[in-house]
Amino acid sequence: MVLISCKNCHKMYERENFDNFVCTRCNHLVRKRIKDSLQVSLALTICAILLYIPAMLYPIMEVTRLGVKIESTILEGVISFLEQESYFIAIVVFTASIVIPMIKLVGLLFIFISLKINVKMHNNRKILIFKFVEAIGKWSMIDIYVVAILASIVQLDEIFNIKGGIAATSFALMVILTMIAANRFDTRIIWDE
Amino acid sequence: MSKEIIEQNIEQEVYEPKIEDKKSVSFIWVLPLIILGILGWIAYESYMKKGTNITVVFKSAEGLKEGVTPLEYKGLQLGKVTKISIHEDLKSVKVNFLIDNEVAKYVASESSQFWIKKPTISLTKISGLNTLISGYKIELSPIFKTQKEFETGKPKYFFEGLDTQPNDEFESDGYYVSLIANDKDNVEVGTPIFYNNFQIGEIIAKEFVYEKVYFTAYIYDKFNYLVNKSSKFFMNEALKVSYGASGLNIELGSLYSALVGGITVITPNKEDEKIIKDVPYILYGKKDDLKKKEFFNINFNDVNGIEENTPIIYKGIEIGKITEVNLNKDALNTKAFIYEEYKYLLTNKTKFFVEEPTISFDGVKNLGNIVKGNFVSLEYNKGDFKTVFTAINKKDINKSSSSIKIELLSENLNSISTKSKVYYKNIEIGKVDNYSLTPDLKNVKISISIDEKYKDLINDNNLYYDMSSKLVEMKNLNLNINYSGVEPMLNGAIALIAEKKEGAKLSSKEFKLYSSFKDVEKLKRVSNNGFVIEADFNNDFEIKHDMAIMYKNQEIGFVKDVRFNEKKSKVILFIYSDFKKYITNKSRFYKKGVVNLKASLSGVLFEVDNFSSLLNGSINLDTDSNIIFEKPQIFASEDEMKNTTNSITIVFNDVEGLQENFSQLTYKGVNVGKVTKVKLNEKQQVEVKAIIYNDFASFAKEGTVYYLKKPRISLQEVANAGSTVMAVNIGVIKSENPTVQTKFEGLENQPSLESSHFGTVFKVEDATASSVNLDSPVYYKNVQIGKVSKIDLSEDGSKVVVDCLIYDKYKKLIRKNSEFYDISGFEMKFSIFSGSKVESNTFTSLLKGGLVVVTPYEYGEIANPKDKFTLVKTLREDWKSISPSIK
Repeated sequence: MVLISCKNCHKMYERENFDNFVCTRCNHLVRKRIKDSLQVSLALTICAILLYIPAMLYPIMEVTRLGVKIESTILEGVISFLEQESYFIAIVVFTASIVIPMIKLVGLLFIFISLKINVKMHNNRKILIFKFVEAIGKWSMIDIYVVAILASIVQLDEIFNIKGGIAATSFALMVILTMIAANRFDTRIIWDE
Repeated sequence: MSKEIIEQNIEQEVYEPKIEDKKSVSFIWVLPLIILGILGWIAYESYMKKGTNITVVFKSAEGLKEGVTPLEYKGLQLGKVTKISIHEDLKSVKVNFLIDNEVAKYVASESSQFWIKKPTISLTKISGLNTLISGYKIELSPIFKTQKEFETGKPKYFFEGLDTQPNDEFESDGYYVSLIANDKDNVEVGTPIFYNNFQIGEIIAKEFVYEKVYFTAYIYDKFNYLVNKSSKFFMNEALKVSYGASGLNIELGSLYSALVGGITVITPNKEDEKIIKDVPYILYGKKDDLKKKEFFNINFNDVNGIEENTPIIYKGIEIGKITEVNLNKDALNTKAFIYEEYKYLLTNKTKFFVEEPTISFDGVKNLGNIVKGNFVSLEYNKGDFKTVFTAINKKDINKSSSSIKIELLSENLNSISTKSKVYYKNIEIGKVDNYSLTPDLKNVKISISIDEKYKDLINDNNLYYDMSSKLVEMKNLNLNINYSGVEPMLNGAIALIAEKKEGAKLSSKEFKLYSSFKDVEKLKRVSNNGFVIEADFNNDFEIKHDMAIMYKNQEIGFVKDVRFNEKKSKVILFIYSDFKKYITNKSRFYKKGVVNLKASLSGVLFEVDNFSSLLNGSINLDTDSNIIFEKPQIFASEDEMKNTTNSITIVFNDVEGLQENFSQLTYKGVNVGKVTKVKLNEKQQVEVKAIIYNDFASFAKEGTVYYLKKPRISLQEVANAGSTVMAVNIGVIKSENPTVQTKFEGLENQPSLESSHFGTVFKVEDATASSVNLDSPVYYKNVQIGKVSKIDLSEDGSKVVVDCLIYDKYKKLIRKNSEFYDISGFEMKFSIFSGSKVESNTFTSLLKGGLVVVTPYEYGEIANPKDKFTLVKTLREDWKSISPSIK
């Protein structure tokens, strides 16, 4: 006899085997593990990494002032903030847009790879990393939020104009994909043999 | 035995196989692949779009910004500045561009020229203003015009930037004309070219070649036909100042051309061929330069104000100019030209002279000269062609023409000058040449010359006088303000009095110049025939020589001499013979006042005689009097004169309110005389002297009554109210007595009369004076037929006599048995039983009192003034019913 719980409503069942069945309480499909959890998460993580590249290389914002168009990437933005001595904003942007995604991606990758390759780390630590990644995931959207607000407010045609660039789309997609990846990952797999 | 144990051990440990699901590759791996694909494509794209790099060297990178300044062609952005750095030669700046790949082949080719587009504002051009906002731009100017050229052209990546916009922005098949300019012109690139004041092109290039300035003018395609080989180009004048017969003309062309200048084209021959580009045309400085000129020389001796460009004007038209001026010892040698069309004016009889501007009140002549200085003019006479002239003084011009020369002698030069002219009837007929003192230094000799055409006027009988010294002249004793134009006033003038006489000769060369017209008049007087009379006068005014004697406003003579004596001076009067008949032994003379001003409440009297008296006064002759004088007398005023003959004397006791000169003598309301003098006589009575205006005889009769019309204000009446404020007048009652009397006794009040022109007076007696008053009405059947004219005591004092004046119309109503009743006041009957009864007749009678006449049915004869009546106090009851019919 084996014990299975429904992921949705956490009802315990004692069943003969690990076949799929429908939960009696919440009508959710009860499974031993999320289907293809690792594959999906890994794939999405790789997509995110791929998307991260244009997010860094391409301009996230186009500012047109008096006919002059200036495109700046995230890094250039950070640097310009530093030049303008707005250290706080610079740090915030840097953290939210560069550090955190980096940590997320690296963390997830690490966890996934550690499931295939033997890494000397306690499972509890892995869970910790994972929890951390999941928690901070959404905060990267700050940057997107700023660009979106600016772009929608500052619209004075030729005099002063802000538009989002390619990097903004790419960045947003990246953050979303990591969030999905983290969500789709079944942490129970970590303890599977 | 041991095999069994191993098999048993082995049999006991049987493991279940581990069943594992075969892991499938999910579809999720498609997503990374897609994204990878997109990434790759983006990377590829950007690699393809990378663009071409070119480098342009500019002298200055001012206003250029890395990453910002774009490269544009006609507004299309082709690329951007990527880097700005110093060129190796350390004098210029290297600017790197990143050009979009699509247009790279057009840009990075041999044909490209780059220049910095800055905002330009100049008088000729305003462009590039959008760069004020967006910053400088680099503009591309490709030389190649067709695709083919681009394809065959070689790529080039290193360029020298231009300083300014290159010139060949226009199509190469436009219409271009080369112009050579004078050095004095201010033509710039962009100067417009006008035809008939319409811009048809502009200067697009300016070059300095071989020490001459060449312009390239571009004519817009539409107007190609307007410019051809016969065209002439010349500069516009911004401000055209011209002078001429019509005066000063200032013309301003369009403001644009005033600032920018401009070139005007005229094309006389429209059919001519087109211009070939490189054949230069001359750009003329001014329109006049186009005309052909004839050059000649003029020498000036003693004139100034001549310089280069002094115009030569003939009859108001500028016909030429002085071009060069040279000082040679003492004389000024000039080279001048006149336009070919006026060549004929240069003859050996032509004289040149200098005109200076004159300002006089007659008009400003030669005003253009004030702006431009003097000009040269000429006097033309037919003759042979000549090219060398000597200018003469303008004054000498007239010398040569024949004119009559006369010399005048004058005591004093007064205001005559060499500018003075000689006038006849205010027309200029000659002028003063010069003047000098006579050898004996007592007189001034003035030489005048009179124009030949007036020679008929000049004969021995001429009279010349100085017209200018007195503006105000007396001519015929009427005031004339002698205005013959202000010029004579400023410059002095001589007038001529002459008559054109046939056969009159001019034999004497010297005439006397009289100092004024008056003197000439005097002459006339002297030449008039007349006689002399002597008159006396009392020294009560000033008599001057030459005072005119007027009779009915006509001058009949003048005062010739005055012999002073402290009591009575003698005056010699000269009367013209024509008027002898007016001087009789009844003649009197009086001085007409200059201005007669008398003001009082009665009015303001202001009399001004004709103006001759303003200056000198005049003596008037009077022939009205009846009295015969042994010697004519001159009186100080008309009034005085009248006083001695037309006056009467009235003696009063008290004349309060009577005023000299204002109190009038009135008869029937008409003023027939006035009071001239009021004084006390020896008996302390007031003697009033009055003159009668006309008809003295009828008033100076014995029996005429003069009385004072004093004001009477009482409850009953207000009479002569005017007299309270104004002068009291004297009333007259005429009499028919034929005897002449001039001294009268005046009455204080209006007298009562037995009969006057009003009516007849009947005397009514009464015991006491009732409330009947003076002027109380007398009624017959309540119709007023007369009034009370006097109330007085009888001679013996026993009764009161009321004089009732009955108008003539009603005289027949008064019969010997008529009764007079007193109705003044009112009667009040008071009785206990019948109440009170107030009876009164008309309301007037309430105030004024009054009398009622009742004539009974059986009327008697008509009454006469001698009849006496008695006033009955109460009116009889039945008076109303008595109504006889009286015939």
